[in-house]
Formats: sequence, structure tokens, C-alpha cells
Amino acid sequence: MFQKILIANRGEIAVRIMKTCREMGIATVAVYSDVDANALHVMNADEAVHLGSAEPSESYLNIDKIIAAAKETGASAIHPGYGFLAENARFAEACQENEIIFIGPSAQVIKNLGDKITARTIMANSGVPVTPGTTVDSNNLDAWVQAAESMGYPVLIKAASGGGGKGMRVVDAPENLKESCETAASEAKTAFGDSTIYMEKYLDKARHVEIQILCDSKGNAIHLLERECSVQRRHQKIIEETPSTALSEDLRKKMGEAAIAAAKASDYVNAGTVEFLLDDSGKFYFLEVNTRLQVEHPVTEMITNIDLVRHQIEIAAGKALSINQNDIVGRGHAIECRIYAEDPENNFFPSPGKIEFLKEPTGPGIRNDCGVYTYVDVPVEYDPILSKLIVFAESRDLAIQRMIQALQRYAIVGVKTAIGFMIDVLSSQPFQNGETYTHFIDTHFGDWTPNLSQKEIACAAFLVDNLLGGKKALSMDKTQSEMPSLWQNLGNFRL
Amino acid sequence: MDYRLKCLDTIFPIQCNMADANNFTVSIENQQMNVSAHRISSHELFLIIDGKHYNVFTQGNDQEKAIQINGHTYRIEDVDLLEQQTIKQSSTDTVPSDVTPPMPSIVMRILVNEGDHVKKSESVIIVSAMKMETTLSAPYDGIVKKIHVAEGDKVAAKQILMDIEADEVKEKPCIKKKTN
Repeated sequence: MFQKILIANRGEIAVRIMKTCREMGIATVAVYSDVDANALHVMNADEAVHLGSAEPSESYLNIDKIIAAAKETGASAIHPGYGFLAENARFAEACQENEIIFIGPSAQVIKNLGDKITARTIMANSGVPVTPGTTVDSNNLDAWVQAAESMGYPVLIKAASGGGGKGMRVVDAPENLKESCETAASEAKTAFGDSTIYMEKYLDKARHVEIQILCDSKGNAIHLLERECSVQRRHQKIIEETPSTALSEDLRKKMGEAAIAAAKASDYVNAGTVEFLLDDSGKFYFLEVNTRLQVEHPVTEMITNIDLVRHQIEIAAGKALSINQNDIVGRGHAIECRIYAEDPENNFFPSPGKIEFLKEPTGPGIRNDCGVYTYVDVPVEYDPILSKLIVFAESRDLAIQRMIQALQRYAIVGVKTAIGFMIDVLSSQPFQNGETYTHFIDTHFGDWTPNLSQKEIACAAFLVDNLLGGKKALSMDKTQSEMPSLWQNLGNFRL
Repeated sequence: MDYRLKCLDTIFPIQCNMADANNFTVSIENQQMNVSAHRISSHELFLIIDGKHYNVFTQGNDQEKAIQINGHTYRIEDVDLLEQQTIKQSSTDTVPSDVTPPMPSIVMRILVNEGDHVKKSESVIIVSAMKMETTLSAPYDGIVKKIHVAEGDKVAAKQILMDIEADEVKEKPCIKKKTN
């Protein structure tokens, strides 16, 4: 087993990986940029290496610097987390060249599955159902029009190297096709350095259901049930749960088998996620394989009682899977809410700033994977995720109630979050009925305004806060430089 | 004391009296509340209002606050205090017509040069916050007089990034000093 692992990431995921490393008796190395010198992941590690300026290309995306940090500290393996270099084949290659174990699949697998077009071909050839779709020479508009006609509108334009909703466009009618292809290609070029796009039939009423897989290097592959991730804003997930309300035991088995077929078809090793779209008739279609630990992995851990990071590390160390398919039994229900620094009243726009106060909810069945603390600055350079709040309960109804209670007691002051928004979503009839399709937020919460039923209490609190003594004295326990400047004070609710 | 507080679009006339250091009576419209208050920290209050318990989190100053109760955030302003403040400020300050980012950001690209003529709503600068790019555009036709930032600079919310001199003499010749 490894003696020391470098975690090439920041925030909550780096902290979460370190927790498992400590339990396994493995020393941890953090890496950090200028703005993260006091970040939680640095403080949680046994040692840390400074990479450079805040700019990702000078820090968390800089392969040479990270490899050098691993060598310097004697780390024999690197865990990439999610985002940054997690699905970068060149990084996996660089690790291999330097005899450092990359905790994830091989560079070749990352490359094959990272190219969505190659991935579709691999899956289609192995009998995994894929949505009707095509690639066309991007300069030939007639060919695009023809392809769209033959599969029928609406169609979805996607980037071959895509992810995170970038370079994605839904086209309803032929007259919008040209412009959508062009903007999708240009967005893809900016985001991924590759303008290749392809077209898929757009499923109007579908759920995003994904299957967690674990594969060792001995040829064993198992799946760890599904996650339902249909509640999304800007094509990015915000609330995830397992089990899905849409899966029968039979369908669960079928999708699990398809996921294992996908893993075998691509020679997959380590933890991964096979994403599917599921329609109301129980038909499901391969979307893509995420070759990394997912943001939403904790819900799977809660109902299966399995530490995915531990298994990732064991697999990377060459061990055979210590569990088999029959060991995987889902128990109860888990829900995750992603807590971002974002403004739900302004199209979920990022809301960076200083966290002036943080109080995390605790209690039976509550887990908060958190990457921040009071007085930390949420930097503008990176993804604005602050934490992931996860609850576990006997049933879906109880899990929803538990999550609402936990969100109500979660206080984050200084940056905006979607906590109030998610309380309203979880309290809504469509969510409680399990009507979670990918356009859930647009359909039910497109013009959301917060459900503010205690204005009088809030007004009383306003005045009491002004009149009640002790505020100055209490805020002086931090140094003056940590006192917010005027625009910080005003900023967060004036923007 | 009488107050007027604004929450969402409603202005509430309120009377608030301090009985002692920790006890208040608050009257809003016809509703009277007896409030027993304890400060837990500079951002956290424990209130007992007519026997009911509330954990409240606050941020802001005497004029404006964000008040969190049960996970929901109420943005509240003291209308009278704000009005006093506005009168004190020069009225030209209130026109929102500057090239300025809505949040702390990084300057990605500057699309114009000093001396360029720009049209109203023409893109002049692209800023990025947390991987999301925002294009800022010219508020009116005019000449770019001065660019205060360079690509790669970190800028604060509402910082003026460039001065644009309006073509025709408008009521307000636009140039505001950097606020931060």
C-alpha cells in the first residue's frame, strides 16, 4: 500500500479524500496556489507544496509542478479528485512516465472515453444503448440539416470533448440550427481547445440516471446502484439522490448490467460513473462515462455503506476488489444538496467573497463534506462549490424532511447560496412526487422567488441586531484587516 | 422609536422600544411582539419572540442587512436611514452607467483601446468570476478616455474599469472616480 498520497485538488473533495487516507494510515500531501495558503485542504494535510499563482494554469492545472511536488515529497500516488486534472489523459501519462500511480483509469481509457464520439462508438459496438446521433463535417451545413431532419427535432448539439454543459445547445427548429452549431463549436473551442461537435436526438422528458462502477485490474467489475441527478441548473447538477424513484428492481438490474458492459467494453479500471438518460417508458441511453470520482459520490456511500475513495486507492495499489456484486445492497435513501457560492435569484451566478460566518448542521444521518470555514475568502478563480450536504434516512420522505431541516439550520453568511432555493425545491409537490426530469428547474422553478413567510420576524431581528449590545466587542476578536470593507458589507445584497 | 423597514417590495412601519438591555417590544402594523434577545456572536442572534424560539443570522450594517431565518434570507433596508444617506451623496452618483463588474472578478480580455469610439452596448471588456465569463458593455456612445485595468487584473465589484466620455453632452458626463 502507498505510504504517501498527493491530492491534486482543493476544496471539499481534497479534504474528503484526505479523511480516508488518514483512516488508512496513508500520509497526505496538499498542493495549493497563492490564494489557498490558508485553505482547509492545506490545513488538513500532513504537508503541503506551494504551486504558484492563483491562475489554474500556474497551479492546479500545472502538470509539471504537480509531478515535481509529488517527487519532492516522496508521494508514490496522486489522487486527482474531480475537475482540474481528473480527466486529463496527459496528466495520467505524466504520472506513469514518472513512476507515480495515478488513482484513476489509464491514460488510454481517459482519452477514449473523454472523446464523446469515440465513447459512443465503443458503447454502440458493445451493445450498450446510445441515443440516435451523428457526427457531421462541421462545415457542411446541409449535412447537419439533413441529419437533424432524419432524427427529428428537437436535437442536441454537444462538444466532443465536452462536459459541464459547455458547448451544449438544444435546437427546436431548422432555422436555429446553423447559429447553434456555430456557437456550440466556438464555445467548445474556448472551453476545451477542440471545436468538434456532434448531434444527438434530444429527449424532451428524460431523467439523468447514472450508475457507479468499481473495476479492479484483475478483470472484476461491479456496480454500486444508481444515482438520480435530474435536478440541474445550467446543465449542472444541484440535487442528487439514490435510489431513483423511476427504477424498478428489474430496470435497476438492466442498467447495472449495461454499466458493467460499458466498463468492460472500455477496459475500465478504478471507480467510474456511467451516465444514462432514462425516458418514461423505461428505455435508457448511454450519455457518457465520467472517469473519476463524482461530486455526488457520497449518496452512494450512504446507502451502500462503502467508502469509494478507499476502494479507489486499493484498486490503484493493484489489489483485487474485496467485495462482489452480491455484497452491494442499497439501504434507505440518501440525498445530496450542493452548496455553491451562487445567487439563485440571478440565474445562479457565482457569488464569491469572504465567509463571515459558517455554522454547519449536525445530527443523525447528516453529513457535510465541507471545504471552507469562517473567515475564509472564496476565491474567484475556481469552481464556487463550498460544501455538499448529504442526508441519509430510512425512506425518501424521511430523507426529504431531514434535508429540509438540515438546510434550515445551515448558516452561511457573507456569500449568497441556494440554500433557500433548495428548501423550496425539496418542499415542493413535484419534487416530493419524484417528478424529477432534467428540465425540472425550468419547469417548476423558472421564475422562483424565495418563499419569505416571516418578514415581520426578520424586521424585528433587524432592529434588535442594531440595538442589542455586544456586536462591536464580538467582532473585534478578529484582526482589523478581517473587518469587511464597505463594499463587502453592502455588496452581497445589493448586487 | 419609529422605523420604516423595507423587505422585498413592502415597507413596514414599525415601532420598537427597548425595555432593558435584552428585552424589546416591536409593533408592526397591528401586531405586537415581545422579543427577548441574546447575542451569540456578531452574526448570530437567539431570539425568543412571544415564547417562540428563533435562531437568526445577520450580516450588514445599520442601514441594510441580510437576515437568515430557517434557511431563507430576508434583505431588509432602513428606508429613513438610506434616504438620509442618499441626500448627503451627490445625485450624479446614482446613475448606473459605468463599466463595472457585478462581482469580484478577473479581467480576461479588454476589447477596446484608449481613444477608441464605442457604441452604446458594444462589448468593451470581458471579466471572469469562478469560471463564468461576463461581457461588460459600453453604457452609451462615446470615446474611451482611460482604461484603469490590464488583462489579468483582479477587480472588485463596482470598481470602475474604464472611463468613457459620452459623445453628446448628456446630463451627466459620466466620469466617476474609482470607488475602491
